Amino acid sequence: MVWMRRVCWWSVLMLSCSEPKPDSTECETGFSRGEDGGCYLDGETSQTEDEPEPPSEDGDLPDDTGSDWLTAPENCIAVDELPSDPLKREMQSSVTGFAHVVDTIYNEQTDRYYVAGMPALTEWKVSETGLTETLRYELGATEHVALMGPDRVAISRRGDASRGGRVEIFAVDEFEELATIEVRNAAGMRMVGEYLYVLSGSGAVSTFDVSDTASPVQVHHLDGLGNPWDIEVVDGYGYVADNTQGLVTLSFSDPTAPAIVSTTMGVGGLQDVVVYDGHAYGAAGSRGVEIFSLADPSAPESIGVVEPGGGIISVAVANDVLWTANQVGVAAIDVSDPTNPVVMGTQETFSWAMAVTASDAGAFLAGWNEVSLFAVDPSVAAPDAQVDLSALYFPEGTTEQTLRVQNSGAATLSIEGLSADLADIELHVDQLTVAPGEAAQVRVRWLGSGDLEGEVCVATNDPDQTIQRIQILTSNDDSSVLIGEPAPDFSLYGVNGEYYTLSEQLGHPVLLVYFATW
Amino acid sequence: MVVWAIGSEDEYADLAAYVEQMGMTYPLLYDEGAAVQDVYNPGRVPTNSKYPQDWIIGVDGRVKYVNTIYDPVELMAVLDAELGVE
Repeated sequence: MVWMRRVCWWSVLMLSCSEPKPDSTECETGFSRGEDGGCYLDGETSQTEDEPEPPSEDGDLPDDTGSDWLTAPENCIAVDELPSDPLKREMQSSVTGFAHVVDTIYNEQTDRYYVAGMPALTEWKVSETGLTETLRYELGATEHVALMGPDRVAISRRGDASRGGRVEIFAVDEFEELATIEVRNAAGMRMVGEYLYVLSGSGAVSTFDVSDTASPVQVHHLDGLGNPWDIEVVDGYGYVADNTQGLVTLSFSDPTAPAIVSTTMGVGGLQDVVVYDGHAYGAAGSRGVEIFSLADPSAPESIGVVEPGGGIISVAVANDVLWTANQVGVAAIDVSDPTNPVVMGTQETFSWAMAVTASDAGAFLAGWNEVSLFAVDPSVAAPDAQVDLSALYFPEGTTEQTLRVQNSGAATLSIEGLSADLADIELHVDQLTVAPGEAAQVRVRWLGSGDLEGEVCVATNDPDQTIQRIQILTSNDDSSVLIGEPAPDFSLYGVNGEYYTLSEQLGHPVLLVYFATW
Repeated sequence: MVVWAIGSEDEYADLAAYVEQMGMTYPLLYDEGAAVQDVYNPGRVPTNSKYPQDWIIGVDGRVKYVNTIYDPVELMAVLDAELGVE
């Protein structure tokens, strides 16, 4: 059930895994105030009510029959003394009026950040009062943004029914449009020397001589890419994150005519790429970040994947720290040893985290409704708990399922409690302390009968997220449409006035995209 | 293949304006009161938000895929399988 896993990586992070919040006045729905001031899942009123049972240390490693499982304390409470969290949100500012964010860049020379998305390009600076929006250009849907000098940016657009894809070059201070280049389905861009390289999502890279930014001249066009999103150019080679082909390497030995020299397909398509210290890091969605060795810069070799959770859509790197925007939040990964990447910390964002850029100061993250600056302290080591599923399904006849709790962090993870909000659920774990890089298995046994609907709680000393909740459900609930079931038929009017009926499409695959304009 | 967008949270007029603004070339269906949404996801698909949700209905009329995070690679793999693309 691959789909389930895919859904869950990120929803683990987003589900309401509320920790006790002694400072807040109200607990969330379904939670009650305990005697110690914390918020507890209804039915678990305080830390003292359920005296934790001492773990039974009677086993070595568990076997498949489960005879040597350990019992964790039966509670779901945040740990009092957590390890320090190396990842901190230093500043945050809310952004209004955005429907989407695609890209962000940092202009080191002017100390400004740019965020491209829908419906505007915005510019930000760090001021005494925090992050301040200094400019906003209402351009409609913009895709990527690239620097063309201290006071020039290029913005790409995919194009729409009324006007084709293009790149627009702006002088940012006076916000004067200097030039427009027609590029079909324009995506990521990179300026190197006097040349601007523009990817087309339709499978090409175009080269423009922009020695005069006001009158770019196309000098080359290269087909043969799949669905490229972004490009990084380092030491005469271009590395393209291609969503269908993986990592495509271009030679720039002739800067006016890049040529494809290799294609490396590892775990899957890539949506963003950064190069740092002889390695390329590719954003591979829910597959994580794929790491490539550039020992031979013309033929990158995949050497591993790090999975900080979520769906990685943007990557950035500075000072041995790889930053990811994974739609649900941000992660900082120590890549001082690229063969052993260590998740230093993860943090949820308030809105969809779509793009990240890094500088010495840390990471600037752009989400749909916020921009934030994050910093990480490399001297602090913390555990990082990644639970592999956000829901466990118990179809009829199933009595046992397993969760995996991976410690992706740099310090020992301890499992502080396991509990369920239902009777007839038995929980065991194969280890209560999990070394960095290791994983604990949690066995969930359902001893009851009938429909199952509840939650398992895993409490750890992960400072980012001490409590994680996993839904437990009967999967064959007929009120929900699940994979493999006949799709419920419906008929709806389109805003074009036409009437659409699902069952009339039998024989064609149908992609339904539920969305909202905000 | 068929691509339909479905909106229920916005006013009809806003959706129509959105189609115009974005130059959408595929139909945008108006799911008043989220009736279809509630049938497809009555809260059983783990999700932090109702949107976005991508569902793929296979050529046999059965649900093949659901995701609430944008994962174009997986999405395309499922569609390719349905379309018989190698």
